[in-house]
Amino acid sequence: MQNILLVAIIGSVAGYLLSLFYRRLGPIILLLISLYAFAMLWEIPSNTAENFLGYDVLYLTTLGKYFALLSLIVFSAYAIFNIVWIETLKTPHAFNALSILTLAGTLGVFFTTNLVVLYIFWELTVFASLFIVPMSKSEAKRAAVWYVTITAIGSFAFLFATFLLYSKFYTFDLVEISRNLSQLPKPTIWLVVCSMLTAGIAKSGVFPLHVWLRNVHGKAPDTFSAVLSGQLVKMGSYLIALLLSIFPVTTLFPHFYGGVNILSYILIWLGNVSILVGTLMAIKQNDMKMLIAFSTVANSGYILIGLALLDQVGFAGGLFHVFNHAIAATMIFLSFAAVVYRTGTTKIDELGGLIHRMPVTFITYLVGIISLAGIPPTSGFISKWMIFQSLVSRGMFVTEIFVFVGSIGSFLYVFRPLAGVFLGQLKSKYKDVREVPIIMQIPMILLVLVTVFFGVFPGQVLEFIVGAQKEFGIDAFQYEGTKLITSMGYWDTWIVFVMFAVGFLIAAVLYLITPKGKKIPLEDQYTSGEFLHNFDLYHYASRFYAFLEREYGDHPSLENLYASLVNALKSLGKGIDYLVSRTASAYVFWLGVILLLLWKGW
Amino acid sequence: MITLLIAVPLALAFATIPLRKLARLILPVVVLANLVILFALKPHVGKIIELGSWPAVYGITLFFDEVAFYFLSFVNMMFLVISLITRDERFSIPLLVMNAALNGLILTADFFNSFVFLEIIAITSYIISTDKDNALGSFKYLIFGGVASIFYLIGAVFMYVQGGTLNMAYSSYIIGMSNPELMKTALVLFAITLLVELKVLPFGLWVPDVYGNGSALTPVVLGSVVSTATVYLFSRLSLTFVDEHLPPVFYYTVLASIVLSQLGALYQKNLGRTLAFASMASMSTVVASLLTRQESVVSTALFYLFTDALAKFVLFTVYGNLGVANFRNAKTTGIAFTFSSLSLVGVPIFAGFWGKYYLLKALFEQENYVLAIVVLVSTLIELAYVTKWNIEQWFAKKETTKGEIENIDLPFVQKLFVLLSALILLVIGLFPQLLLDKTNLLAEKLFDFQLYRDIFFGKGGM
Repeated sequence: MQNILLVAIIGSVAGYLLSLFYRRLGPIILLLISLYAFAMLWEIPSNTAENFLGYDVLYLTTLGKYFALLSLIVFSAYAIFNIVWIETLKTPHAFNALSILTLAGTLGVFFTTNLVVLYIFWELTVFASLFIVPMSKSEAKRAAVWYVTITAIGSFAFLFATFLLYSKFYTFDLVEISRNLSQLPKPTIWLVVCSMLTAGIAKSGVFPLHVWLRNVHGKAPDTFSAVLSGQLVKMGSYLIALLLSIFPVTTLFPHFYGGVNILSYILIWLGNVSILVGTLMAIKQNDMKMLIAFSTVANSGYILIGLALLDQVGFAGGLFHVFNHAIAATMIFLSFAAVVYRTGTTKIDELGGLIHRMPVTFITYLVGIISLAGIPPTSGFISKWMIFQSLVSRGMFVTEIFVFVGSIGSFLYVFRPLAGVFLGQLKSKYKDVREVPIIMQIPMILLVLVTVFFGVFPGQVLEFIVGAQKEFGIDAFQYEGTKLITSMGYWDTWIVFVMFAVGFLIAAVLYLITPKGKKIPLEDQYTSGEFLHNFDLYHYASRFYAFLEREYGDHPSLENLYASLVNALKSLGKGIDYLVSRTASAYVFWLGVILLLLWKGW
Repeated sequence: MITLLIAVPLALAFATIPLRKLARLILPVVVLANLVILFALKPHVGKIIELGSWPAVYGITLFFDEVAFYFLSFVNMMFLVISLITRDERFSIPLLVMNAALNGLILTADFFNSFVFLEIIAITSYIISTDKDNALGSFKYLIFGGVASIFYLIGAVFMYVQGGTLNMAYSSYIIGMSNPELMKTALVLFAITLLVELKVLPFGLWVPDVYGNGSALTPVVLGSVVSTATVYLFSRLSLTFVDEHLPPVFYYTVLASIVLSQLGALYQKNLGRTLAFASMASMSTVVASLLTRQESVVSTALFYLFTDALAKFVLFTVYGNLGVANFRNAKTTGIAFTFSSLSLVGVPIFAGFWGKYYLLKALFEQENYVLAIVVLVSTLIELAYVTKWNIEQWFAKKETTKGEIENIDLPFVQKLFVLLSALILLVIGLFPQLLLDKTNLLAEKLFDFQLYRDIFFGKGGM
């Protein structure tokens, strides 16, 4: 692990220097590092301890390995895509160096159970990614400040808990701490666990700390949004998973409802609200990247619910959903990056009809959203199914409603870019748009294959998940080959796949044997004798879900609440500044001091 | 020999009054000579020097120990850098005088003598701070500093009347034995004066106007050098000579000062004033840590002080010379600025991180949660505005719009030192133990009044 981290850290310097000569070398180096790390990491068995620069701090858990491998898949796809995409950036060398540094930081987080080292790598990741965010749009500057501040609320809370634990146990090692945690008084346990979880909640974009996602994901450089949503947000989920499973949460906190302890129950409700907020807000967005940013909030909610259940099926479902959402979000954001690469806009109502111009991008987006919405035979269905199973078996019907609403809502919001960007009429100004270069297509095609493959054969992913469950003493999820077993029945992915494949074949045959529709140009239609001057008017993508948005148009906004909180703080600062700028303040102040001294009798 | 640190700069300052150009050339040479003398005398630490062969009780005595050595080295090194990067010859003579006074302030073991040096520093500071026609700002500074110094004088008088001598060691010892309450009162008086220079709100209300006026020299000299020397005096007075805490009202004032200064910085729309408030906040943090009177906390406070002074040097130099810059066209400067500001906030692998790390660790070990939480909250606010200003400067529009953002860079020498300082912050960040060992030693010595006294009493003065 040490070698991987060192290669990545040194690689970021190399990436910077080589990009000065030829900007495409940066992504190539990132790709090579990712592949090297993947190959190396695959061979390292779980529960390996290693030194880092002479300190005994690295420790690989199965959970960490799972997240690290997943991150490397995301980063590899991102790197390949960037080889061509990097042309569009003004500052490619810094972008390359910081991308590689982000990878180094995030791998470091997954490779340690030492709280301070974890914090260091965590901050490395945040600050490396921070400076990437404003690289393509100047509006992203404010977003980056929000990003770092909200993440810092979490990470400082984490640091607080770290030192608090240190002052009790004189160690930073999480494994050792978790063994003795129950000795602390109850309020301290609550304080410590909640503070540490705050870091994960802030990073994974769970309500109420989700407000940074919209603008950061929406305005970051297009391909980096894929990493942000597909990978960096998962770092938060990792922390939540690690903490919930390594601490004896089920014994530390009393049972509350449905066999779930009170802490988990609170987390599940945060997940519920995240799903609701994320879904409703995503439906409203006209910017396709912001739309998926809110969908990330909703999906982080799913993951949180799954993880908080801490049981055989739900926890496994949460971990599996991490995988699915990471891959799906990467696919979707890469396909958006491809669209923006060719058209230069992210506004849904400015686009349309790209399906024939960019078929590979369309397929990638389609498979991405099918997985995101949880439709079989993609792997996205499996994880949602597992979470749902666990909830049903516990009788947590309210949460089920939220999860269900989230799923239905996701059909709605993923359809909006589908209809607005890829279907409908092609705008005349995009008549000459072509599919993106082959190098950009490669990662998209690979991810499509990955999604479908693991939808049919989830064994390898489940092996890691089961390993992680065993590691922390949770009952292992049951599966035999492609047959996933829960207490309520089973789901055989292979059978489902075959059914869908047969259905697809029948549809394809029908398509081939039935007469073809006639393709007509846009001008060829009934216009009441008027000339058609503006073809764009025939694309109905603006205010797509107006009928739904009306229902919750005046909702309260956390973003505004936080903004006014900051303003309140600033006005306090303004008060100080007022005192400072008055010369008379000096006289008044000294008068005060002297009176005080006289009064005290000194 | 150590007397030369005071005598040479002072003598040369007066000698070069008619020859300003010469003074500018002499300044770095003098400071370099100071450093040479210092390091040559390092084996002889732990000595007192009685001026004019008067015994310590009657005459002025200089005290040269490890603490003084490290503070003198730091102050003179910063001074060397400042003298090399300052091109303005108007300030060479005040700087020479100030150098003498700073060395004197750290070395002296005499209450009245330290008052004199404080006054000299104050006067030279007023002169330097009138740079850029900032008359109103320095006038306010003058009022704050002028009134404050009276309290120091009264304190010194108290000590003399009751202790019978102006020597710090003797009079504190005598009063500590005979009348501890009076000792505490004197300490309160000293503290009031020093808090003005230590920029604790509301004593530091003068700072933003003086620091934020856009001069490169003022904040660097006042923030990096004068503050450090004042911290030395403050820690000597409040840690070495007394066994008791200052009244709690001081502690709470300083805690409030940390947060309020950060809020002030958050509000600012001017980078110079932001940095001024930031430097008030960090100095308040140092003072709050010193007030805890716990050795481990004090050690980390000194760690924090040195790294913070270095970071502030970079930030103020860049701001003073460039204003709000466009770092795309000044990458080296930009990297130095970003490194230093990240260190200021305490982002890992920079020196500032370890400053905050050790501080928090020590505070938690002492179960001082209040200060720890205040530090964390203030860091959060600091992080927000530091990030904002960094992004502002890196991602400024490339076109120069109405001359707001110009494509200018620092001159070579300044760039070199700014980069060097940033790299030092990085190196300390990678090997924090280098500095921590030293600050641990300093903290240990600061608390050891026995040792301090023994050096005097061993001479058999009484």
